[in-house]
Amino acid sequence: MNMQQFILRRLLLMIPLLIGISLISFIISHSVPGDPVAAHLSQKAMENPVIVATFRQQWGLDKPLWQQYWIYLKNLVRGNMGDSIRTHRPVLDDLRQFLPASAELAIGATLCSLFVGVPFGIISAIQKDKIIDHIVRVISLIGVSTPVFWLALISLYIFYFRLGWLPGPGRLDAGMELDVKASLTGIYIIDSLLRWDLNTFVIALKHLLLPTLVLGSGTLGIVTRMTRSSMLEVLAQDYIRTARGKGLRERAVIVSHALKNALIPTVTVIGLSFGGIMAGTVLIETIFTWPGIGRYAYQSCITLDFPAIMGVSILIAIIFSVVNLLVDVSYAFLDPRLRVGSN
Amino acid sequence: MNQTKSFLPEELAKTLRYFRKSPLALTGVTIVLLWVLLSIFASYAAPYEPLKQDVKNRLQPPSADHLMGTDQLGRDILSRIIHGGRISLPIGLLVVTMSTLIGTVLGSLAGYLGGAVDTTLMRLTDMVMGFPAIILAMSIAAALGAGLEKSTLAVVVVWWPNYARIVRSLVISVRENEYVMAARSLGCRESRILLKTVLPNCIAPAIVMATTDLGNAILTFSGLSFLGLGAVPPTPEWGTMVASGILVFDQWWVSAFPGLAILSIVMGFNFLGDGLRDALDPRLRRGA
Repeated sequence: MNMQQFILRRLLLMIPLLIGISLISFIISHSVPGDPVAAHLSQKAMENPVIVATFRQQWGLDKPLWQQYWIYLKNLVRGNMGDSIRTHRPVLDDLRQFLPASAELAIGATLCSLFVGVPFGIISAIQKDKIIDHIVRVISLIGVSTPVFWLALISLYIFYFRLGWLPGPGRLDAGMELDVKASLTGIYIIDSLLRWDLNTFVIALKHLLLPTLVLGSGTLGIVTRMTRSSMLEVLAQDYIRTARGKGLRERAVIVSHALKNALIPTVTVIGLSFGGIMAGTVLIETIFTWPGIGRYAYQSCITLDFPAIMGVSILIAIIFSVVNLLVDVSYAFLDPRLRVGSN
Repeated sequence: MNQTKSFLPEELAKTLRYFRKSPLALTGVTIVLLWVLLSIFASYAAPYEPLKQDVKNRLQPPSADHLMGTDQLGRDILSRIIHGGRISLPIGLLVVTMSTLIGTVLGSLAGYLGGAVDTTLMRLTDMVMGFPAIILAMSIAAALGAGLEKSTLAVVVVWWPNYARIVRSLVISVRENEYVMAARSLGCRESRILLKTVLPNCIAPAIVMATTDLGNAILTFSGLSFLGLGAVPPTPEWGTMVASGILVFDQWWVSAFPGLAILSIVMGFNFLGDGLRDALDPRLRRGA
């Protein structure tokens, strides 16, 4: 099977997954006692049966369940996720607006955890059972044990409130607004660079720093531990002994012989821990008033805004599948054996 | 058919011996035990009543009277944290126990029966796993309404699929063993083979996984509570307590200490789990 076939097959496999997700959210949204009507109309409006009936009809809540689901699926195929009950806007528009802010956070957090976690893991593995190894191990265990919402509050308190080194919540300073329509990617640090607006770039970067680091802290621990254990496994292999035996410098042995082979499990774990990052964005974006899809998901959930919940779930599932597909494709670059096998 | 019986005590003794030598695991056990004791004897250990308000002494910084200060209603934060263990520990336990139960039933049926049952159950598992867990938990918790039982249920719904997958793979590997065939040739009923021969050989790894998973369950639940989708005030729940500190941001102790409580107990379980994994993995053991 060549690469194109492989990718195509994986993309096709996403279809049943997406149907499953829409079905689950549909079942939940309609089998639980929460009532979207009560969540969206005021007490006074609830007492007026005409308003309640109109509301139900407007959102298709008066049709039988399977019809509602069928209508939803048909619209979904056409790229229409319905209107959000809360924002009164098409869900797709909402997602388009909020996705870049989350992408900025999630990509930043992933990069942070890679660039810090991989070196930590290597050092830990080389120094196995020495004091550095134990320190790194304990730190990474503490990292995965820390509640991100707490870490976010504490770091805001220290670096914003006490020390004043970093700005408070939000993507830009108060009163500043990037022209959303003129923005190309919606990712502020890229947009400001493209327009050579260095002042905005620095401000956006400063705002990004804290939430990114906090969000990445959990994954950082996972990446470190995975790199350590797979490095240990690789370092015990015969070809490492061969490399050492032919007189290569230790640095070359580690970087060009061991690391590349040890990276596959690490890359896999990054793909899988994306779910954790997503959960983190919900909490982080809520605390940092970051206008991303995590905060959107939270607000949709507490207001029982089912079209929005379904839309955001489907979007995240698609991103999750694509990320893990990219991870699988990256194996071919990390492991030449797989590349040979695929041709 | 019970080959594990002669095999287990020896292996267990080895594991325990290794475990004793691991400082990390011992630290973990100590932290967890400390929290268990604090929670059981919370009424004696806590200096104040967790719900007693003293508005005159509200938002006092940590002092000799109130080691961790007081909150907006003048309640002693240390006492609330100690009583909080009574909520977080049982909920963590409940989440992993229920998930193990559901996972074992569905996973063993799927793995043992195979065929259409397997496909149906595993597609169901995939569907739940494919759903972003936090959104699923949040929407269930929000839809069911506030309350400890409801939010616990919400966590269980996103928690069991992992267990179903693990138990299924264990059952598949165990069912091919000769002793299973022996039981079958003796004329045992399939249900008996599954319950008496296959499952006992699968349950140990599932229980280990559940133990190491306890910390994560507590962490997830506290996150839900932080978002206002778990415990309801005035319940002294750690996540809720951290959230209450947002409104009095400059009084750092209101959020800081409950968060440290979550951190410590989750860390305890993770240290314990890390040591347990090392102790149970013969490859790592030989190396040590």
